[in-house]
Amino acid sequence: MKGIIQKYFSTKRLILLIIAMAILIFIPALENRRLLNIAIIALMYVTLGESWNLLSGMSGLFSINHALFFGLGTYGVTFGLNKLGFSVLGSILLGLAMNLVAATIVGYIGTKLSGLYFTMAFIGLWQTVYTFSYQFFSITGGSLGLSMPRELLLSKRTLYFIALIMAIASMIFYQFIRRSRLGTNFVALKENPDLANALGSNIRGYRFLSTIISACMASFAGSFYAFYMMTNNPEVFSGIISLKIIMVVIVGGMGHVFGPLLGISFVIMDELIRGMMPSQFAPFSVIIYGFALIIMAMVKPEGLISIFKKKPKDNGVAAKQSKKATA
Amino acid sequence: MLNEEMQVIFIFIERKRHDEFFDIFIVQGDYMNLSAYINIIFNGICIGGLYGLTSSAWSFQCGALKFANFAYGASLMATMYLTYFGIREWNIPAFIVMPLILIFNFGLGMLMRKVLLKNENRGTQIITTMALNLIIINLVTFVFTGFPRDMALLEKRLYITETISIGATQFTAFCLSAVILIGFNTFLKKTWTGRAIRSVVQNRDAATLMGIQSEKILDQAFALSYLLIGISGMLLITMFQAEPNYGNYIQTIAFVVCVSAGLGSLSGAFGTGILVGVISALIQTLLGSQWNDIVLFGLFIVILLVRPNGIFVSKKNVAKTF
Repeated sequence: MKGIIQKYFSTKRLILLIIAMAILIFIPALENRRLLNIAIIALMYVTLGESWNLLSGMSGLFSINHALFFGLGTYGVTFGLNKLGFSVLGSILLGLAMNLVAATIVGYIGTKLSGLYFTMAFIGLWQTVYTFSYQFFSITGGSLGLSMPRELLLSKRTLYFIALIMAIASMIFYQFIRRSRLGTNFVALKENPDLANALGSNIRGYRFLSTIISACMASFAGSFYAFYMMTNNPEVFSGIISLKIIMVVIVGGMGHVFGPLLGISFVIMDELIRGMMPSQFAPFSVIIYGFALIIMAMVKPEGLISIFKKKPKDNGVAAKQSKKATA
Repeated sequence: MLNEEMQVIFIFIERKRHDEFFDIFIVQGDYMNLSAYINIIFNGICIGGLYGLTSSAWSFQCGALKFANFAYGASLMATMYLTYFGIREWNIPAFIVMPLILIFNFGLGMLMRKVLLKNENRGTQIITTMALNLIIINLVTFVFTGFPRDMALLEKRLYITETISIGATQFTAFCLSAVILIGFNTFLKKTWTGRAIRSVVQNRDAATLMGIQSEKILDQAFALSYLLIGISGMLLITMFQAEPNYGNYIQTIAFVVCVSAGLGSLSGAFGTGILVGVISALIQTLLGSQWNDIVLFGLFIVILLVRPNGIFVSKKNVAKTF
């Protein structure tokens, strides 16, 4: 057990993690509803960020409408509970199944064609689902949405702990995949697909798999959002949510577990500021997000996480290799 | 008893709805008249020619020059809004507004090329242009408000026979877009700059060795494609309402047209644009307008799955596997 812990986290990181957990667990004790709401949303974005990080940061397939998977999770839960009369677990599974279908279509196109076509197929599917959710009032509830049964209303404290567990689980899952053989193959997809193919890695299968895993992670976050909002709305598919998901990862650091955790500082800041501003200035938050994303992607593509990283010594790797060679 | 009455009322309503549905096809008292269909198809062709012009700009940027520009729809939408506000709200004469908008588009294209698309990495290009897309949409919402705008041009109809007619503005827009596309094609084929652009697209290193400044040529080509966007935006406002999310819609239409024509082919884009326009017009009349987007974009995904290199293209090397 000690060996496993040491394999994944160093002692310093473990202490930092315990301090962070202590802070996170005592947020509900402050009895501040607004703070609690912001914390729930921020933790949900950690899960979504890890999901995007797995698809784009690790495997190098760029989905610029990741809210599609998120929204399908939300619609699955509300549709299953409201229209079909499923149980809670059944409706979550319905959302998951819808996401699997979407991920299969997109992933199949991703395996056949280059990254640009993958992004285009994603946008096409997103546009279809978005218009479907708006136009077909009898099935999706239109812009009014379908409401959930009242007895499923959870207290904010419970929701907070569910979000916390989900965020931690997604981070552990990401790190587990990154350290496993699967993760190495995913990184090979991003870094050099031709070389990976030449070395015998089944890159089509891995592209497919990364799309499906990412869709499932986003689906759970979407199901959670349905229980948080108690209704659905076509706006869960909107570009603003996709932008936030991407920004969280890019600002924090792409391809790194703690990237989204640093990136949500931006979401928290925005939510705190937005409470003081008049609603007329709402578009400005998106504009600021966009500029932050552009500046980070252009100037510092490795993200805020690079501040905490030590600079690698020049001789370190070479010295180790020479030692191995002599031995 | 009540039940039966209800049923009678219900049947009455149903029959009325049925009649309304077929009202579209009643021309001079006939059901499913042929001239009605011809009118619909003419309408589709006129709109489709404009779709062809709009999407050829994206095809040129993304297929030929290899810039992943996902801020394309928002640029079109901003152009539409500026045209509307210049002519209708600020009362500037049209012959002053049009050059100004072309200059604005040229500047936007140069700025994007110098700042965002300087980066060669495809992923960074996709992300930054997507962010720019949302920035433009929200800036437009803030400055012009999200209220849909329409030029509300009085539609004159050109009568071919007594029942068959074409809208005058639509026909003009179709002819203009055809002329512009033919002009653009001859520019690419005949002039020195056009040939330089094509050589840089084919093999940049060889072109540089032959004495072409490839960076400068790419700048010019990208700015040129933005001029195309400016012209097509000005033509689009004569037919469609401008609203902040219209850009995303027209961008997806451009995907449909470009992918079915094969990415990078300009003359193919015009042909498939007409095809998409006709299909869209037929869907709207036969199924109802709420099905338009779903069927069209569903078709796009099917085309991507079955024939990703283009419907009429037999080449295998257009879309790279990895």
